[in-house]
Amino acid sequence: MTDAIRVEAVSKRFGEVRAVDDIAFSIPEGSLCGFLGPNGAGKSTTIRMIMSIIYPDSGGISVLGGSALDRKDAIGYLPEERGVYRKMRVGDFITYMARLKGMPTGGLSGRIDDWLERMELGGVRRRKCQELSKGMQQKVQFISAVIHEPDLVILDEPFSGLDPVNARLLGRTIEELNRSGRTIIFSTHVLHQAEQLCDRVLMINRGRIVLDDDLESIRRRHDPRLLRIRTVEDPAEVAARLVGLPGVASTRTGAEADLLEVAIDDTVELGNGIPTELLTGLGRAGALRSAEVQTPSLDDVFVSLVGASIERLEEGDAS
Amino acid sequence: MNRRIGGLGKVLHIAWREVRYTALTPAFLLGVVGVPVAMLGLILLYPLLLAQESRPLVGTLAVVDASGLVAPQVVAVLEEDDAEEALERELERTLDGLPGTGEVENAGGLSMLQTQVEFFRTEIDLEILAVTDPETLPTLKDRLQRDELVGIAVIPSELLETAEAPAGLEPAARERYESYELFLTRGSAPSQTRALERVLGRAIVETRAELGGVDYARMQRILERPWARSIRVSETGENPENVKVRMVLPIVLMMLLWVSTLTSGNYILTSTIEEKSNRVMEVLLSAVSPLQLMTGKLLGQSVVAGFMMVMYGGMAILGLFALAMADLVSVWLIVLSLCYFVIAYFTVASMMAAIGSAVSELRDAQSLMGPAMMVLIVPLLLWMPISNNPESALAVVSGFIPPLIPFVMILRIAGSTEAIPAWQIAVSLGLGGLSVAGMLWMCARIFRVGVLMQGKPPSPLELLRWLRYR
Repeated sequence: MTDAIRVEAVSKRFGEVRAVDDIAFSIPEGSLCGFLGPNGAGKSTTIRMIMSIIYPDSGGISVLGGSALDRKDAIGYLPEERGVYRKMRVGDFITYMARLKGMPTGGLSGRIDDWLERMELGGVRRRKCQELSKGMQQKVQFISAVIHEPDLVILDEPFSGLDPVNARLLGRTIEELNRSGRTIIFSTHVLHQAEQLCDRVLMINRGRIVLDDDLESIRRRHDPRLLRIRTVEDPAEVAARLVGLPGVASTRTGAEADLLEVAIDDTVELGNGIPTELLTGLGRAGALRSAEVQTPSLDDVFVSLVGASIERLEEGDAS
Repeated sequence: MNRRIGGLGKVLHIAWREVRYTALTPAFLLGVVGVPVAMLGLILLYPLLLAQESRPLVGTLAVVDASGLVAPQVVAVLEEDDAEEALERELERTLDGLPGTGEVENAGGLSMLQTQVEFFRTEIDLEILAVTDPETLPTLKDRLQRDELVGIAVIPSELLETAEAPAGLEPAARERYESYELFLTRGSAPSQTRALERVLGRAIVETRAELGGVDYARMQRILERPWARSIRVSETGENPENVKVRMVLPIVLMMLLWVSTLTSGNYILTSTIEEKSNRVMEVLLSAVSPLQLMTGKLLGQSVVAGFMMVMYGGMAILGLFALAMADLVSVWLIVLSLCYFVIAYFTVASMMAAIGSAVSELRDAQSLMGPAMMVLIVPLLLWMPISNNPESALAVVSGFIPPLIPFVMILRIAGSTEAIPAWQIAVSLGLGGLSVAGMLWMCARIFRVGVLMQGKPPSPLELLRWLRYR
């Protein structure tokens, strides 16, 4: 599979601030990639460099096999700081943006109508942009980013400011675009959205890439190997009976009144759920209400990685 | 043909949007087109309005004069009615000496002005009632109140004295040497009053002349101040000199350049700031490069500026045609004006685009407007010295200083009676072209960085630093 985006050893400074620090990654064609990171991590700077709106101080970026400057018409971009010409009519604004993206006029009008219907904006075509609500304006901006059927769609915080209904509509549309063969990369700091949509995650913190993998691998790699057991008896007593049980590395109580967290060692395979032998052993230790394998959320991964990254940087600063 | 548009097409598309949302808006059409057109219409209609306001002066004027000499003179003045002739003479004198003067009467220019003059004059059809007994004044006033008279002029005998008033007179007594009373009806119009004053004043002066034994016509001829037909002599021949036109034409052309470049420059400034404050800039930059965006904006606004230049210039040329003074503006002057317009426009507009890109709000732009305003204010300061002497060292040197070139050269070319040396025009155009290229390059560098900047506006020093940014 060829890469839609390839970033190699890219750095960017703004005065004394190192916004992006020697990052390298690639996004395969056809992926739906979440670009995650806390505020100020360098997401927008990286995206702007990918778009050739600003240029890296060092390193190289290849987009769709060339420079983004040459492939602008094949890229759809929704920036974080988005806006519309307030006095322009919705239809005129989308037409203007489509023409700037190299679209021919033939069939454009019908396509605009289709997209407006698809985004539940039927009937606003002749209204001025300033007459629309913020959420509606955002959907108009999204349409203007994808109206020219780009091969690569880059969306910077596309869900911010949208209500849950519209966020779901946008999410569905992004998935449909991806299914139709478009490569999509979107930045967000709302991790559950990325978790729902993405097949791949890129995480950046303090200008450095801290995670770059597909979602399954990430879950596997960051699997805490933890069982969450609800007990009938006192969890502390059950924990005491589990000492020495094969496969149990340690136990922890106190998070909730009936909750016992059991760490599992490497000898047990948790890929297909809790093995029967282990489950039997747990049952002998005490009456259980439920037992489940804790799957890592992107939130957990994010917090652990960003936290670790901050600690590493602070150690570096101290030394 | 239906295919994807390329880089140039995108630039033209941006340019068209600038034209569409600047020139084809109600505000522009009303402010830039409607108001001047309405003003022109008012100027043309003004004489007509005045004529409608001007009521004819018809009726009986009582002249109370113990000597009985003034009333016959009033009749004589009215019959002579030479005011129009004098005005005609004055007009001819004004128009004489201008290019094409010999054809003025035939070309219709004079006749148009004459028509206006007639509008300004009040039609007079008076009967003069000569009264020598001042005691009848109360009776006359009663008749005036009943509108049986249009006015009563009470001429003191001292007013007809040919000798000066004796020294040491009381103010009231002195007044009788200097003025007369003119009683009017309540509804008398100012134009009617002025007409009466003109006729009566003239009649009193002629009466005095007669009493002093002076031939009035001869005295008038003696007092008539001659005027000079100035002719400039040079190697190329003799050219009539007209100082007024030489002073006015350059400033008219320069102001045309000034207004059109400043107005369109302002549009670029505000539209760029609007794109930044609306946060639409980054969306645009995802489709086009900053250079393409700036070029499109400059091209679009150049059409707007050109439109204003053609509209105002065209109106001025039409005016000159109406006054049979079209020869004042040669084709060569028009061509050079257009060349200097291009230089002036791109100099000012690119600066405005750079300033607009660097700030997020209009009020922040004020601190950076200094250099742009200097370019526009200095030519105004240079107008008088350059118009007085378009061949002076100051004029020649400032005509080669890049940001001033178009304005100074227009002043020189339009104001000089001698042709400006071709090499000076060529050098100014060359330097102007180079400075425009340099200015565009610098402003494009600033624009590229500025459009993505938000927050605190940069200092002029920071703008210079942006030139070095990758």
